[in-house]
Amino acid sequence: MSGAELGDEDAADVRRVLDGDVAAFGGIVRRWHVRLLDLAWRFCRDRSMAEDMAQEAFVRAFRALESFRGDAAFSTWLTAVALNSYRNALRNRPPPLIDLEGIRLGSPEAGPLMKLIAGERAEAVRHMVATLPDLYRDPIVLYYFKEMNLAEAAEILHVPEGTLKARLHRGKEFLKRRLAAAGILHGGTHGQ
Amino acid sequence: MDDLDRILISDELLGVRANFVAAVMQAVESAAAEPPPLPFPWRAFGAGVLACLGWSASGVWLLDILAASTADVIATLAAVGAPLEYAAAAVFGTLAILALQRTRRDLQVW
Repeated sequence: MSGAELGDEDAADVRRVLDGDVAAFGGIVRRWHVRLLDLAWRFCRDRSMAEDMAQEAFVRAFRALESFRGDAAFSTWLTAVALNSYRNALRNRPPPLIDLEGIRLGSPEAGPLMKLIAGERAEAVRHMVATLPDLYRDPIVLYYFKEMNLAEAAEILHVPEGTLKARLHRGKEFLKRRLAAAGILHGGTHGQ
Repeated sequence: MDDLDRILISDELLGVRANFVAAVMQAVESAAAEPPPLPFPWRAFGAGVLACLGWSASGVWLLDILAASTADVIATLAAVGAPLEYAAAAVFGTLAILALQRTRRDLQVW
């Protein structure tokens, strides 16, 4: 299904919901729930919490549907609503815990289980992203969530592309320092 | 693209709970059934602001009048102060003489 067709379906559902047909919102939920769940998961690394966050994001989007004017793509608008909702949900919660046992570089028992360890190390890196300050976490999560589409991520975050680029660069440097300090990745990640 | 890029782009949540969409729609329908939020009472707020402004203006006006009338009273008293003092002294003096005369009469009676 093409983006245009999706956009048409979304626009039609939005019109029906605004005309009072609440059930039409089901179409929007069916089309976008995987994306919103995936985004929530990247922020909190907790399945149950991700479901709660995504549900709340849909409710917020339903309440704010009148504010969708069609200037941006529906997916961009919905992601921006979800992002605000996720930020609020995470504001007063402790960052996810990272289990570093057995995944530090140079663990003597890592040899035979290298593949498993690599997977766990990757998961620890993703956890570490979720613990970054908002200023770096949001651009990194959104940029990779949007498959490295800088323009779309910048539009969702309401910042110029140059600003997003700078935050991404600083955020990644910050992340690399933290990962190196935790013994998860070497100081420089290039060529590993 | 470095290792970090590869790790971060490959992140995804596997599987979605079967009744997740139904749960979301239930929450949405509950939200739709809720009464709309009370609108901000702009009329009452405006009336309150106008009343406050009215009170403030009338307070300033009354203070001006009071200050002017108080100044007038003080100036008038200051102007007639000296004659009043003489008159008061005369009154007290007369009363004192009368009191002395009465005392002398009483003593003579005894």
